[in-house]
Amino acid sequence: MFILPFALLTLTFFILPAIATVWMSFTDLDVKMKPNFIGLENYIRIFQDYSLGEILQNTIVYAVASLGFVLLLSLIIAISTQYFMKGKTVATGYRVLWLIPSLFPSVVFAIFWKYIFDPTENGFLNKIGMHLGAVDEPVSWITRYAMPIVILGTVVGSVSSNVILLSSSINSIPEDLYKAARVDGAGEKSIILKIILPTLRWPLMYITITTLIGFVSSYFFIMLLTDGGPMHDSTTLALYSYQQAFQLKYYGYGAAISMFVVVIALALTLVLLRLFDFDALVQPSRIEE
Amino acid sequence: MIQLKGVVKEYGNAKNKEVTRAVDGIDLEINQGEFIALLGPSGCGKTTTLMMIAGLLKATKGEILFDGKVVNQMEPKDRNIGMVFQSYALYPHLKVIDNIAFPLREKKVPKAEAYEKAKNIAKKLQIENLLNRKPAQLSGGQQQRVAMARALVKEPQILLLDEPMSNLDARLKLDLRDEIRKLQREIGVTTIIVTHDQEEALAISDRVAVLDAGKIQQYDTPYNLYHKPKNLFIANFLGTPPMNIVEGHVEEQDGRQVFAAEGVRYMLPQNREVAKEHIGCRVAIGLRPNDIRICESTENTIPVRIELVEQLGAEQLIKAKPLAGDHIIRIVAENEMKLKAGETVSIRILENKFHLFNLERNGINILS
Repeated sequence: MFILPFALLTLTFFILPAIATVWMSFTDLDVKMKPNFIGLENYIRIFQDYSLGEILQNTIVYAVASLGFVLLLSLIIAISTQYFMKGKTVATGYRVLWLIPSLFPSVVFAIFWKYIFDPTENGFLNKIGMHLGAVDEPVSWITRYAMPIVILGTVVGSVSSNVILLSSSINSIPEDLYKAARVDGAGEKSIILKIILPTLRWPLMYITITTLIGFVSSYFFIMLLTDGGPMHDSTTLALYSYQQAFQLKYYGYGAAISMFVVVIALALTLVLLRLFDFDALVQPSRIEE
Repeated sequence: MIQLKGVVKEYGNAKNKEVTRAVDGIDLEINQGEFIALLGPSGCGKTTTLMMIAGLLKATKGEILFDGKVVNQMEPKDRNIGMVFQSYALYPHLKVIDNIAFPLREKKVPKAEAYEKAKNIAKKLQIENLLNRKPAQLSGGQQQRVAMARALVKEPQILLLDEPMSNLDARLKLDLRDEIRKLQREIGVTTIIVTHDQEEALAISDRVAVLDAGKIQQYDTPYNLYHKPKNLFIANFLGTPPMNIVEGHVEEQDGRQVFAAEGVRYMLPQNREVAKEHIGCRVAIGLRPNDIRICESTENTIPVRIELVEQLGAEQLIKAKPLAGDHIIRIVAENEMKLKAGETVSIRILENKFHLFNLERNGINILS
């Protein structure tokens, strides 16, 4: 009864669009806005699309590499600021610095990266490179290193929120545990491997799942930075779906590709949950006298 | 043997350059195999002292010696100590057996040997049926035993217990206390326990160091602490119900010494008179509630009016006021005595059981 208004909202804004997308993916809806049911044709087209292989590969490289760097960087920053420099103002200040990328709109950030990697001699990197004599003529960085640059931008933008999550988990470890470990002869390596990392298991699971899904299904940042180019070099599946639907106006085909993305994201989530032994988290602990 | 020589711990505050002394010059000697307690109110520096012995805190000044060797700069892991924390500090992700074996594994003891030793110590502490559980699946008492096993498994030279029983219920505390004592005798490990529970400290240890304001007030056997308190703090701190403290002074009257306070006059027995220098000083008399008898009004008794009678079970606690005074005196009386509030009775002080403290000299006991 009381959840009825919310249930209606959910229905209107979450469930109906989802159903509409599913329906759309089975039609040839395009700019004429006259949908005809065409069955599985869109899906068959996906697998016949000659760029699918490259795009799928790009998606995997982009998502996995970004995730890897995000996890590694977040862990290093969180552990060093919250364990090694615990309570120091410098540590907190440093964490705040990492927040800056997520404070600015990604448009601003995309412009910043564009400036750094600008292919003309006015680009930041080119200026420095030429000044130092490392390069003779301007390098078109974005054309040459499209994927690494996209990954770099993504990683820098998504580290901070994860650092906050991991730091608070590390902060919840009682001080006595470190003391006990030190009395028991554990070095810093043991403390990190046997006390801090196990504590971070659930936050890490959450981060892995959410960021991975985020990377698989988001296209905004790549669109701003490289627009998937040059050619399809930095096009991921989600971006491709956007391009098909909104630039080429193949709404039906775009919907089918995004359905494909959804299926991949769902499958990934299930695999990861199994991998992290999610059952152990929901199981209640047992206390007996 | 453990020796502390003039150990000081200061905490600096960088902002206002204020320095707080948590431990203010402690001298302590602990013999091999001895069980001693550091007892004191919260904030007295007892845990800080323990942490310095463990090496988890560095002393600002002074020396800590193990068997004559200065260990100030030695890391905790090199000091060969076992430690039990108030929170037990079990590693939450490790099973009980892995928790117990942890110190050995960190010392690079081969796996088989480490787990063998872990099992043996677990058997000794009667927790061998819990070895495959996680700490979260254990009760408080069980966690305490696991923490003990983890501390003892590496056969430490010194066992440090930081309020190990303050999270347990009263009954369990009694059982564990006896067990810890028994185990300590059996292994013969030098043990230091930090506690704020005086009953626990007195019951379990060979000697007790009572701390206040970062200083040792008295370091003695439980018997001497209770019966021969060095100063007013010790007298006041130990014993329940607490000692009655009545402020007054000692004066001379007809060649005898008399303790006089508001509503109280007590002629001191001749074998327990004070030195001349204390006469006229501000002096407090200390009377344990058990060392006062309710009696007929005779010579050298004090008339009091009963204000309140509390049943303690085995005996009754009387709160009374001297007829001409305003301080409460607590008296423990046998249940057989039928006493009512409002009644006037007389009390007699047991001749060799009272203490006198000179308040002008930091409350030092002037009769011991």
